[in-house]
Amino acid sequence: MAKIAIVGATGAVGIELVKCCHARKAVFGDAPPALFASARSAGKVLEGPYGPLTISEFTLEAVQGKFDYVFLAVSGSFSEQFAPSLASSGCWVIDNSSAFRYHDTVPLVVPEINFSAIKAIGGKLIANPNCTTAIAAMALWPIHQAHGGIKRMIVSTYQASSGAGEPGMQELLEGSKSQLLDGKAPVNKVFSHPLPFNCIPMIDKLQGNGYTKEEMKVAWETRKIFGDDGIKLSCTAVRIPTLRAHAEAITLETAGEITPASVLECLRGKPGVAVKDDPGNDVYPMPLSCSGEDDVQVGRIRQSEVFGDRGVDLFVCGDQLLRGAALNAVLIAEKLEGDK
Amino acid sequence: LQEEDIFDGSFSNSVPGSGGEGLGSDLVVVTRDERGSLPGEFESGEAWRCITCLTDNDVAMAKVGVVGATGAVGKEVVGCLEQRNFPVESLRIFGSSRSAGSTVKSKFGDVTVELFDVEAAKECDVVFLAVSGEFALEHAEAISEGAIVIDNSSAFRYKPSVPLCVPEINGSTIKGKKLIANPNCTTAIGLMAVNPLLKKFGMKKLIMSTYQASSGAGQEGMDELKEGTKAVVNGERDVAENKVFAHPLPFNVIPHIDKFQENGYTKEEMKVTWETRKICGLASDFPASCTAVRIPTYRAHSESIVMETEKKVDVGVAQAALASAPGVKLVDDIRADPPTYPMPLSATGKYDVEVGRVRRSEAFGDYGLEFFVSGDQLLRGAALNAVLVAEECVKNGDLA
Repeated sequence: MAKIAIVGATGAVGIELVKCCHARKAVFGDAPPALFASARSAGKVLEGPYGPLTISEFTLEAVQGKFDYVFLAVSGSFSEQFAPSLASSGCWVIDNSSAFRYHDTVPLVVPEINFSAIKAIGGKLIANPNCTTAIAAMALWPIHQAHGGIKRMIVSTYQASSGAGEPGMQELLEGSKSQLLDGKAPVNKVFSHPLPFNCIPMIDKLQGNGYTKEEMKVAWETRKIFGDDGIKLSCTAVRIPTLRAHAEAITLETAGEITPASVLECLRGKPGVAVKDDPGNDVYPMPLSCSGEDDVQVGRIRQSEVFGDRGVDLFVCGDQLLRGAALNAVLIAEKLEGDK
Repeated sequence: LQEEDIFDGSFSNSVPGSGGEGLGSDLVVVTRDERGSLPGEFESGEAWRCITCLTDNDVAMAKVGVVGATGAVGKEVVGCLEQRNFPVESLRIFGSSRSAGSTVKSKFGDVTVELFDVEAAKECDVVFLAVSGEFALEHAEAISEGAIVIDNSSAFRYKPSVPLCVPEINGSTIKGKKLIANPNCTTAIGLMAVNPLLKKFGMKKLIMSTYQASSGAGQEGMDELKEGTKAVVNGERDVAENKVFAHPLPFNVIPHIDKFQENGYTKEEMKVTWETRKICGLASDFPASCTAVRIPTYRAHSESIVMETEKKVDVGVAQAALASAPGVKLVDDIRADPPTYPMPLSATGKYDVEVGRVRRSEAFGDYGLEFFVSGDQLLRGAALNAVLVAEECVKNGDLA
């Protein structure tokens, strides 16, 4: 049975990693994952589906060479410091940070799409993609394959507060409370501005080209995961007052002809994707309906008014902590375990 | 003889939105020449700011009517008339039997709401309709036999003989017209930024995704969001109730505004397409697409906009064009900490539409611009635009 370690176990992603591992006990075995965090959290007890689990202080000695799978749900700088040693000690390291995503020697994986990149590149360090990228990729990959390739993509996002972790979600909830129940202006520390009843069109730092790093991640990572440097991709990443599911409005231009029917056809039966597209009954993807769900929802599929028979518009929604982070990582491990 | 008119910063009590933030930043010194007309920099169609000169003796006073003044838009119409010192000789307010007889306090005096009557409305010089499309279809043309009618509904927007007007863009189209359509809110807000860029670089394609506020569904929409969010954060409910919106809006987004059309777009999305073509004088098949999404904000719509251009873009030139465009405020300082950008929080209650995140498009390369706008849906998206249309009528000499 698999020996699993989760580093960064107290964060929002860490908690979901525990749940996702538990949901796959049939594959990994009954033994709970070992939980690691900073010295500050050492000794804390985390309640979850395995019952109470005690958190240990992370040290390289405690983890290297001792686990089959090590999930890193920590900062990029932590990953930079420890991920390579952990991987060369023989553990599969699945890193949720952006630290290694753009390295040529590190595969960036959505298991349903490019699992084969792991063997192709070699090495045991695997990068887990940016949340916004992974959610869109689930819906777009089948479309990319079935229509001669996506040439151009315009994405506008509606990103949840969980992207900034548990502190982000708390700041939104507390701020909403203080505004509505106490009549006081909300306070912001995590976000650059108060988020309740607002939207913030800047996530992560500005780059030289006027885009933010979050927006460029979607471009860089989509191209890497799809193995196609030719895709022109523009993203506008906006934070809105939702809790844990990202939504994205996407306009696609494809090389081959495309219709809503051909899109539905290529999405049919795809694992991890749920078509929610019944406008007559007010059915379309929404954060409230996909929060806590493994599947990414796709809907509002329609012929593009701008790209005609070479374009569609669609709307995608996915739980940022699941497909956007923990679930994707655990599915990678699950597939590796199955390959053993 | 030269007179300088300086707005003295005094407002009536009905400053819209998050009061206090009001209009202080829009102070402008206006100089009139001896003929009483405005200097060249305020050409026809440009948004005037806080013009007190309209109350001068040589500008005729108008009998103004507002139908639906107790709704969210109607209230803002009265507010704009007050703040902009529109030359109101008398203000009449028309409503249904539900509001008839009630009193509306205004700078122009206490006004008793009258039960709507076509003949009474025709006695006005200009009538603002802040009511449903059905009402407009039934009465607008009849009223326009007597008064100039400025209709906020979508009823007449696509009729070729009826101008659809954003004064800064196509103010010249309303000269001599008795029935004028006020555009869709999302369109008006977006085009304030699109138009200066279209004039500089040309436009081949327009792609928009919106972040629309609850006020688009009126006071009821805002109330449902507020009460629903309260119930969730104080633990009363896990998920809010919904009557106005198709689904609960607190902590959610709803990619559905207005009815679905045959082509899979909603009517709200197609309004942006149709009205952009009409207002900007584009071809009837000009490629413009919109995804219209309701998000949990109160009264400012935001939009992420991508334009494919005819000429090669220059971000500095684009920013300068936006900075100097009347009715637009460039909020795009990347050197500030944190950088500045448009947001509902800062655009609420303001006349100007905020534009920022201006950049060369990664999707269209040298022939593409992307930017983000935020504008008060009740102001530029409705009441302010309507009052600016009326001011244009005053300038044209069409009013009384």
